[in-house]
Amino acid sequence: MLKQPLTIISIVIIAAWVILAIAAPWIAPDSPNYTGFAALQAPSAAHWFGTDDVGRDVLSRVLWGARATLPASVILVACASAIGTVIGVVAGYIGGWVDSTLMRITDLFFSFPAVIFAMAIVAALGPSLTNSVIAITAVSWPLFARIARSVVLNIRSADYVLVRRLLGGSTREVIAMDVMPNVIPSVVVVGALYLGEAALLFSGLSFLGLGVRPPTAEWGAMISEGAAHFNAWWMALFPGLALMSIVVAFNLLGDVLRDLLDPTSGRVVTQTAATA
Amino acid sequence: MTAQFEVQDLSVELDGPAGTVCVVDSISYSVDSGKVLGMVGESGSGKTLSVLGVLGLLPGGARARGSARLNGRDLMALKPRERRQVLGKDISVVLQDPYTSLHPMLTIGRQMTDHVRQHLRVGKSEASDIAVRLLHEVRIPDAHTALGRYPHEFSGGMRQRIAIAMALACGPQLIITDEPTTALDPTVQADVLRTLRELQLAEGLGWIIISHDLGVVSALADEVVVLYSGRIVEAGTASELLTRPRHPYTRALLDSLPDAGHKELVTLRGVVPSPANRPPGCAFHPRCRFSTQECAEKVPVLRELADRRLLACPVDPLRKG
Amino acid sequence: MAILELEDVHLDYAGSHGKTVAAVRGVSLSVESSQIIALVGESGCGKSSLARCAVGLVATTSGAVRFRGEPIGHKRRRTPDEVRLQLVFQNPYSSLNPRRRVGRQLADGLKHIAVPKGEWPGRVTAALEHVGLSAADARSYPHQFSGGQRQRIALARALATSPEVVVLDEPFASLDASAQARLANLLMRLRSELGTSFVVISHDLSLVMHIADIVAVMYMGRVAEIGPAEQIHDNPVHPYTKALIAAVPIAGQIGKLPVGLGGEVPDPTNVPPGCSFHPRCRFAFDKCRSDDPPLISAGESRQAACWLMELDHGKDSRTDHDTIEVAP
Repeated sequence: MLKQPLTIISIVIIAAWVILAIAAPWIAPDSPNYTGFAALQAPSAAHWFGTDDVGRDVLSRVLWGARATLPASVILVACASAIGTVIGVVAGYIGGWVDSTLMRITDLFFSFPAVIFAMAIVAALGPSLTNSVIAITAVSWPLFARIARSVVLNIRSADYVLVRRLLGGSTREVIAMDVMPNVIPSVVVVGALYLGEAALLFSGLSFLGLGVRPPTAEWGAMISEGAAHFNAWWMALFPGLALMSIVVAFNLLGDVLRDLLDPTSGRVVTQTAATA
Repeated sequence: MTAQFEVQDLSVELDGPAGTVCVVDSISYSVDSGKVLGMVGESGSGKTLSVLGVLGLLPGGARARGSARLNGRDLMALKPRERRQVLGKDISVVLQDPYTSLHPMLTIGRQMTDHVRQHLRVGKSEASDIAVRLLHEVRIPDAHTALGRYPHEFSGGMRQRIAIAMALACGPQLIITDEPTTALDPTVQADVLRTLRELQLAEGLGWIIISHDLGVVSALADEVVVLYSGRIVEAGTASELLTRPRHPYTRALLDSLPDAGHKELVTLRGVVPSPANRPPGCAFHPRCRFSTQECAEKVPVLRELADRRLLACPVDPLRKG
Repeated sequence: MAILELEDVHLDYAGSHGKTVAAVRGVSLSVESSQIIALVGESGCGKSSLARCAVGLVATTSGAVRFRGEPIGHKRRRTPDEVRLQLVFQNPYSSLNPRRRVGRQLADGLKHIAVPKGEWPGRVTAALEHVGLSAADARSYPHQFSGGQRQRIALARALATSPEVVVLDEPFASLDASAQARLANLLMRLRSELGTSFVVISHDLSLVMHIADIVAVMYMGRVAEIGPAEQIHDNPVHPYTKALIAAVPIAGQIGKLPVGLGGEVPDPTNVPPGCSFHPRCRFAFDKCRSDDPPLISAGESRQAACWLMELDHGKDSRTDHDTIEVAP
């Protein structure tokens, strides 16, 4: 599994971006906000990715952009999954009116298109990087709540949960020792797969001018600026490629994690066929 | 109407994660019309896969070789479309799980009439009549009303009866049942088996019973083949083989049955090997207390003994009975 | 002295369409130490429901369940004493947590019965060895074992707490013949070596009658017949028991078709008046249709819920293999 080419590619891409993001202040050829260069220069030896409409080096801005998108995506998914897991486990385990209430709230959030809803929240709070992370978290937790809840519902009637009660266990123990070890891997997998979506949402908000404020370098914002200068194709292309590479890498990572974290997957078909 | 179903050198291979695995290794047997063949083996013996192989129902990644002739016509040489015409019409299969053997979203009537019309080219009302007649024969009460009901409205035993009715609807010459009553309660099982036996005798059908239950096989079979790890280890008439087994594995199967005696049950050490780990030579030798060096090296050949018994055991330790 | 006592237990629960399911309709049973009791019956007889009442997973609608003299609770957390009453579930694939190692799961009960942590590995090893597995298996995950082995692991988990009574719900159902034989031998051996009592629920008559001391046959939520296993096997008196035994084909008896039982399969939402078996019973007479028989003595240590016991027909033990009788 770990030797599959796709796994290696995804890990390499993510690792590369992490390193680039951390090292950006030192390895970027220029400051990302320095506007002294000639504007709209095509890629050349001096500026590998060219310059943008106000004379900033695109390469440096792409490198610095990683410092916005990567941490934002990860924090966002971490918060959304934590909130969603708590809500989902409580709803699934307790059941009854608690479950119904929590699920109606979840459905409410779910029924709005994510981007619109996030836009509304950011518009209300005021555009900034922090607020866009908050907005997207608010829009994303329902997915995790549903996943966590469905895992809990599956397990709740599983015999091994009853066994813990037979052995003298309390409700708290059942949740900690039987429920969570099943919920967490599912949530982690969904979270990893969602990282790509989170990155896109985050960049999307910036693209619309609702995320990071200028002049902060961020891929979505850069694509937006590039869209206004279509002939200067390098302005939108390079941040676009960067975003695409990270989203693809996140998705591949999610697949890998899913295969790794499910101890029984992949083996079932051949075994049942062999014992028929 | 005499018919004969003859399987020769049937082998089934599966593609596994570690390469191709042989799950059925060149087995041969035959069934005449009106006769019952019991195919005995535990899980892992390959009995189900061998039948799926003959019928062209193997899952992807599996292949079957050999021949299976129904009245001289080799089913395994047929194209898939031709084989589909045979399946359900000349040969019918009733499988193990009463909960998945019927389509959950269609009424019984619809399923049966679709099936009959596909094979017999009759009109709707004639198909309906055939369906009612068969439901009546398998003792489903209120056959007319039953046509309009869905599978989930029936109990497990009733569902198996309906599956049997469908299997018999097009007048097959051979019926194959794979543990059809294992999931049912004892009295329900007895009822279903009786019904099937009466119908089989009345229509003169050939019947292959695949089962690990030696009681069921004793009650119904004329001939028996015993499978172990994809190979036939012993074959013969039911009355002889089940009372005077010659192969150590057959003997062990019979010895391990409870007899209300409260004594410790005889068990074999070890487990049935998975096809990927089949021991060299005789597949049973690691668990056999009579095994010799020869057993570990050479795959035993199925020899014919007196009395139409076939035995794959060079040692033949039980020959004196 | 009975360790586990069920006294006139009833269990009703709400079924679909607002109907009440009378799963258990007055069962009394007592389990002593070093005993194997078989609870046999077919679908709908209430044996699984009874098992869950017996260990306190489910509350009875009426009637008492006492373990070592104390009533067992079901809502609150189980006391360390109650942990000595265990249940092994039917499905070996869902009773073990797929994500935790076997050894950790076996040790789960130990902290609730105040076993010091240092002793846990020893207890786990002992339990595994009791069921014929080895200490090394503690480090593996459930999916690395076969169905039969998983069932034994589930049993080992129950045994780790040194229980006095273990109820097993259809332990043989998912196993193949050799695994069944091994488990059966194991239960007999544990009964002798440890003095543990087992209540084995099964519809596999021949197997449980082989290992049990006492057999209780259930039909529609009631005990139809109860007595020593050999007596019930050799000379069943209740018509249902006779039918159940006649329905099982015996290996080596060539050509002897088992006899079924016609009539409607029992529906716990629709219990017939009088004796619940009367619609399918060929010995039924007037009293059977109106009065529900209690357990009547049918010999020393044997009882059957059948009015025939009063008429002394109990000595008749025909078991036919020729005709099928469908009650009118």
